[in-house]
Amino acid sequence: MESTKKYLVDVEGLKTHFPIKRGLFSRVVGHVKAVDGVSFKIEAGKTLGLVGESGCGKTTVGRTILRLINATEGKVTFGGREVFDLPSRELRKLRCDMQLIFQDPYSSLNPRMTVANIVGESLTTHKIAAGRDRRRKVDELLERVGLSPHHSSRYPHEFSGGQRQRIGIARALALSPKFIVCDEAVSALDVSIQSQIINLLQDLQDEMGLTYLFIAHDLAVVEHISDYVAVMYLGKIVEYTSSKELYKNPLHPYTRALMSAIPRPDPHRRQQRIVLGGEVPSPSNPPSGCPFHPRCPIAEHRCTMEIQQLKQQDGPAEHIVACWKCSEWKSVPVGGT
Amino acid sequence: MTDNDVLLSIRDLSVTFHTDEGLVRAVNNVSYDVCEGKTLAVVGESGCGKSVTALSVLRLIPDPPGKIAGGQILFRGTDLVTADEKYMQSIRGNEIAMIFQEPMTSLNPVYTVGEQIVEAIELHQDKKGSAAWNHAVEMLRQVGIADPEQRAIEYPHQMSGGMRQRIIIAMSLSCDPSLIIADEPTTALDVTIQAQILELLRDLQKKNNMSVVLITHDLGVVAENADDVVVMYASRIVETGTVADIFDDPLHPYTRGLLRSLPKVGVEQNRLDVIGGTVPDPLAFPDGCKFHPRCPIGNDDQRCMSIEPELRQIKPGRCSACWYTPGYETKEEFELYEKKYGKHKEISG
Repeated sequence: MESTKKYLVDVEGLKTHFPIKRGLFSRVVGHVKAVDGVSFKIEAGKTLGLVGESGCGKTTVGRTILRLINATEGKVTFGGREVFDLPSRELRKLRCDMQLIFQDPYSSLNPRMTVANIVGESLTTHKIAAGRDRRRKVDELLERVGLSPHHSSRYPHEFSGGQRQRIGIARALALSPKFIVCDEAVSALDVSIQSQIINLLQDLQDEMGLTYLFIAHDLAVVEHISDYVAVMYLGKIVEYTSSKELYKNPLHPYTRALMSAIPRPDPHRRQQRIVLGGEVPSPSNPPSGCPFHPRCPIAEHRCTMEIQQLKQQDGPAEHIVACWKCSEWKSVPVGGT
Repeated sequence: MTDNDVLLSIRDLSVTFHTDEGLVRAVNNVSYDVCEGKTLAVVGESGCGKSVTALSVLRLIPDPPGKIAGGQILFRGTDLVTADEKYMQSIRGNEIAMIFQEPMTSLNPVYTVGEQIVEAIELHQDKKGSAAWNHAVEMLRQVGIADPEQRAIEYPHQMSGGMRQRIIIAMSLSCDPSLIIADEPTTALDVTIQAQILELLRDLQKKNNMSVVLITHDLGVVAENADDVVVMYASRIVETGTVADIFDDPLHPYTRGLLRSLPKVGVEQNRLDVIGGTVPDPLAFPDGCKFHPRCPIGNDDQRCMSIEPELRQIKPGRCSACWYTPGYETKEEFELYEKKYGKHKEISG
């Protein structure tokens, strides 16, 4: 299976720890283990969805891959090259291929720059186009994301949330990247606008062969847009499989709880759901054993002692889960579905 | 539904804001009823006026620039629009309480959470000192906060988002109100925490027989929590009905569009259906039906482009504001407009 697929991004054992400093001399007293041993691969032209609650480290994964945050440990290979070892000049070149779309279309655009400058800035920085050339390129990009060229002399405040997100997408596309990290790219948008942006992202993927890392907390959106989904909890991936398989056959108790917590737009199916007690523990002091055991409805003694590694499950699908007891779920359907 | 079941009745409410750019009509002729012990959901996109309507109920609209331009808000038969400030003060918190979206900003960072709940209790009830404090601790226990005695002497920054939202709920319930207005109470929270908070609200509602106005843009939350639904678009109500009506048989094209544009869990779709365009600028609402530029039916229909349809009852408990809803037009209108604007379009689906 490995050899037939072409992977664009390969993340191996990624760890990002942030030091906690205290006192006059900023002594390091501990670490926030935001990302703690994450591995995955993304096939070229496909979308990997990364889901989890706030604080689980999903955003940090995205930023560490782009080397916006330095990793503590691990390896990221992008198109055959190791990202963390690149000298800065090479890294600059590589950055043309990797872009980021932010969550908040209000704070991610500089209010003092015109749309033409926001979208075209990277073209100048990377000396790709200037003058009339740049203007033409910006106009093309704006049209591609569903805006019109006459918008280019305006400022961000003149646009609605959905339009701003389109500007953010145009900016990410300016350097014709291969890989885009969409960090909660549709979470802040209204329902009717959200579906427009999702369709736009999919169209762009089809036309330009883009690869996405789609970070979101909304499982319905992630299922729709992703080919594969990785579920994160407290800095670790707890389940990884194709999006179809995940929604048909979720195995990790955390995934099942997440799925049953999605409010369904169907008043006749008010379901018995698995309501998780408690909250995500602090990543500076994670619980022993399986990090999910304090909230897990099926945890047993073993779960508090040692952690199960990600393991391929029986069956035809590529489906890996980190749980001692997940096989017990298999016959039980997710609450209400 | 009989009239004495109705706790809060909003009649033809209009709210305007005077801004530098001109007059914004944030709410236009909005009417809805909230019944005892029931949950009414108000759905709509940002800027549709759903929060402004709710704020008007407690007269919390900043005046100036805002102004209640017309209509009545009847709470147990008393009009809150014309009530004096003293009476409003006795209503706020005591009878009608509000839960806001942002659990981060709606608590005061320099007071402990206990002090903040006590403030509400002392202001509205006869309890003082340790009686008020004990009541506050009891409220924290009711909303499921572990170790409430300890938590009461802690500050908001020491708590997570879900806990802060529980504290807000404890505070709003501390004076035993009969109506809770929850403005996007779970939007800022994770799904698992959202499920906890909504379940808590449902339990407390049942226990205290409260009415809830739930303002949200999340149709999933509506489906699972509401009894009745009001759909708003661009300052007006476009459709009302019971929750089953709205989801099974949406009448207004906007409601239909919203329901279709949701990604569905467990259903494979290649592309999502969309409502094209964007929400209109409140300074320059389109003529005719405000939804017509985005409407798949009305975008080229002279009727929709010229005359704004008012909200009318289609059958008991079911209202719509669309020329194309079956049974909407009177016979006279039908004949008049057919002559003037041409035939109705054929619609499929």
